[in-house]
Amino acid sequence: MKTEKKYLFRDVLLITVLLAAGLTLLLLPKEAGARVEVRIDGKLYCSYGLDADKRIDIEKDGIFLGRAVIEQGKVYMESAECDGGDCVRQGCISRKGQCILCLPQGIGIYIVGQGELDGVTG
Amino acid sequence: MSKKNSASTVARLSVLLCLALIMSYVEHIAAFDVGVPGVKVGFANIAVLFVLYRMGWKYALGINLCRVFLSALLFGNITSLIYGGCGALCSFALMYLLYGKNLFGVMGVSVAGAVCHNMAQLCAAAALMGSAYVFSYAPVLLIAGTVFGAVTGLICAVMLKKIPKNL
Repeated sequence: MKTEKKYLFRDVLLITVLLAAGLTLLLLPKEAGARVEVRIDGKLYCSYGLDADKRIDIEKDGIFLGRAVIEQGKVYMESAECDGGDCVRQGCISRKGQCILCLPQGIGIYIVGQGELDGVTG
Repeated sequence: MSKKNSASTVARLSVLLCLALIMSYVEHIAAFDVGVPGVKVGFANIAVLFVLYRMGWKYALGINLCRVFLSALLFGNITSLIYGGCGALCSFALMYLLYGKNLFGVMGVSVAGAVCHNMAQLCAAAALMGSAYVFSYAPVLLIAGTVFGAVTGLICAVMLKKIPKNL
């Protein structure tokens, strides 16, 4: 009985620490974004200012993959040809560092700061 | 191992593998609208942990790998195979380590495994998508992994207590 209590205490402690860390990170204030970058398999496909009003047809080798929309300072995936549709259901993003990912198709839509080089370029 | 023992082992493992697969399928169709990819309850881990505690790490690893491969084949795609495989391997390594060190109970091991699974998938996504921005999902996945890991760990603990060892 004593050992069970010891394990329970440690488990609860672990859960508490992880939850605290997660909530802290989640509630950190996020900077406003400046540009939207669409990347396919890491390579930059196109980039626009976040204040633009654009409908972006994302294609790879002539095949339509999906449509992203930038409007009113927000970005969202309007439609996608992937299996799951997680990316479409995600909704809007608007802060720097946020992203929408369509993993099966290798599409990443990122909100970056002004004049930033986001890792892989070209 | 006598003939009777090995036959019963195969039977038990088959049942548990089916259990893991059915749980994976239920998760697959009951899509979670949190808006972040990769958030799932991880019910299949209940079976993996159960086998780990009852039958040893070799069978548990086997169940885990079979589950990832078969569920990707049946109702997933290459993407789910890559990410699922990554997550499953890393989380299994951690769970086996913690299980051996006897630091936590089943719930703690499950939580550690769930969080590790999510983080490993994030790392795989960062590598494949070529961007560190994917780590913006980390806080949500950390919380989800902790909560759901605790739930599945609790269920597994109850199963380990209630299901007799010689079944």
